[in-house]
Amino acid sequence: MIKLQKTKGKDFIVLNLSDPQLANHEWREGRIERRILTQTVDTLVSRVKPDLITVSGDLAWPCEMIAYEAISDYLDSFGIPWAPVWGNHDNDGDADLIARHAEIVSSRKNCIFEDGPENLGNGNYVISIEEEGKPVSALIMMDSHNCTEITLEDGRTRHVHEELYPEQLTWYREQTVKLKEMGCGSTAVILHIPIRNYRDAWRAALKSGIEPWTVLPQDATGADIWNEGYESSFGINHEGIACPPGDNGFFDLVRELGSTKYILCGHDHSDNACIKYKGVWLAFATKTGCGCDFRPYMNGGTVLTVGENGIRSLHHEYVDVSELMEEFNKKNGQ
Amino acid sequence: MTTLNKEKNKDFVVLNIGDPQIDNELWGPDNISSLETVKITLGEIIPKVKPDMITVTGDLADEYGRDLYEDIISYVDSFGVPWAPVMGNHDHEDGCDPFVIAEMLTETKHCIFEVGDPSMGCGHYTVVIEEDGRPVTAFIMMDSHHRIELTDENGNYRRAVVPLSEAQYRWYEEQIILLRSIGCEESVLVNHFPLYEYKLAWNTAIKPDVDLSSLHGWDPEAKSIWREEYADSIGINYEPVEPEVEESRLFETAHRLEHTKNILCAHDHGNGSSIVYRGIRLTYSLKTGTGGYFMRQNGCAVITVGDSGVKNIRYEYVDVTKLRNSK
Repeated sequence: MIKLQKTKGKDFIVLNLSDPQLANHEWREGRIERRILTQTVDTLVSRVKPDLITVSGDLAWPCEMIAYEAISDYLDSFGIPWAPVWGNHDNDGDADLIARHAEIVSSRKNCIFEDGPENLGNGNYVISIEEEGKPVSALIMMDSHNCTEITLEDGRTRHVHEELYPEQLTWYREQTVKLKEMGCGSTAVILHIPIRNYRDAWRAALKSGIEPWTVLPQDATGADIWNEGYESSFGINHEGIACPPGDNGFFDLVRELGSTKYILCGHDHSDNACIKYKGVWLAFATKTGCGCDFRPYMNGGTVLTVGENGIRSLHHEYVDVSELMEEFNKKNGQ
Repeated sequence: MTTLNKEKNKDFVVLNIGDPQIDNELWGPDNISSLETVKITLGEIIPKVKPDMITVTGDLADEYGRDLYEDIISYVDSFGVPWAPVMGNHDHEDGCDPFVIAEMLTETKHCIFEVGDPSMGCGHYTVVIEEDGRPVTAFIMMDSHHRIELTDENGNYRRAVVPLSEAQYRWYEEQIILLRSIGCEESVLVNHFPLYEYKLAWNTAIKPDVDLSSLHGWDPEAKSIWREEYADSIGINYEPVEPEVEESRLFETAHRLEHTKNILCAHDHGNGSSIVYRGIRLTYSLKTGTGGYFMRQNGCAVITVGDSGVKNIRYEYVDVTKLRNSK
């Protein structure tokens, strides 16, 4: 368990970045993709002054070591602890390659990523936020693995997202109980791929007749958009929710133990809806920068504010990069 | 015209190498050169595909360095298979003189490149595939030039592709007349820059709101990204399809002449799809190796020629994470 200190009388700010995912060549000096990402993150860091930066996965494309080096150097340059979880692209490749991705990240001074127990995947670890020696909150960082191919009954194959492993559920229970014993009953889970229940939440919360793609994320608030009981929801989903085909009981476990108030995921670049569903916030992180699939109106980060009694709130911070979009839209330097 | 012979009752297989564009950047955890990534890729594909001819859709190297060109040229030649490149924009830009490269190519044993009329550019020639003296198809190879900086009336810089010349359109028409006169009823047009119609084809053929970001071209799900009428499309594009060529004359000429059934272009390294649009199959070559810039897709396009012409185009992928030194 990693311990970070919260100053008494002052909120502890966690800034989450999601899916920066630039390729090797996009990190070249002067490239517009690099400038969009760094302008976004520079703006966020100076605006929210985080005590911790988390990344909800997909730091770069697999095998693109120049990009892994560059994003690691860049995030390290703020002098703030930073903690990524592994996304499907970070997990794409043989064990040796994934270990090399992790090696680059872990070698940076301010990076607090831990591999965690081997049987759970890559990077399952807990960050405890303490005030005067007592944990007030904790972030439970979990690996949601990669895509896999399954064979259906009729022999056809299908490409699906992997579920959390049963061993991870056991580990989550142990960590949560341990934190409770230490007096911490307010945690957030950060992982890359949404769990199945995000779909249920989305279906339950969005008013029928609302066409989500006609609503900008900043405007998606209130009873006009959301059903009764879900009016606190915010953000919007502009693409389908890519998640594992089944529910292996993780959400029920979260509810049973009662400590985790927020689950934060990345992966779907055009989704950032946050919905309190059955007592737990199921939140999509706002994508950071233009790597891979990108919608400029949904660019920025997501902030968790930790007070003395635990996590107080979660909100999105948007960064306007419209002045860079003309150049981005123009095809550049091949 | 160069003639290559197809054996009777056996397909003639053409392997296309897409934008090898080798450079001095290193790839992956083993720090291998981009030439090495091309070698690993082709080392896997060539024994499987056993090509009778290799085409290269331009951009042999990223910038001029005689050693870079010598390396890639001698490597492609080492397969001992006739090979036919066209010039890409990089073979014209950044210190490259296509006529110097052409000299290297024409001195290479198995390379069948021809300069053609130098007033049209560099590399206009036709390769006819014959079976028992009867032509079954032909590859019409053209130079699509390079880009220049222009200043518009407001003083803004803009990049534009040097357009094809009247002579080139005339040459293309003449090739088709010649091919028809020898009984060749179809052709494949090969050049580097994608035609404007690649954009129209992609926008028409793809289902709206499909998420491509976590798909690979080889995933079974990648077959279901197409609208029903375009279900015979293959592959995937990761880059915006915004061709630098903005005029439609080449496509319209091909469409009017009704001879070219396949067009093969390259340039967008992240794109590798093949779509039939208004009766002509528009195929992106698949990027081979990591040189220049790279976006996930690696491998080759394979064109299978049967006794009545091109019968199939497919992609052979090599997973990028496999581009590792075999230590």
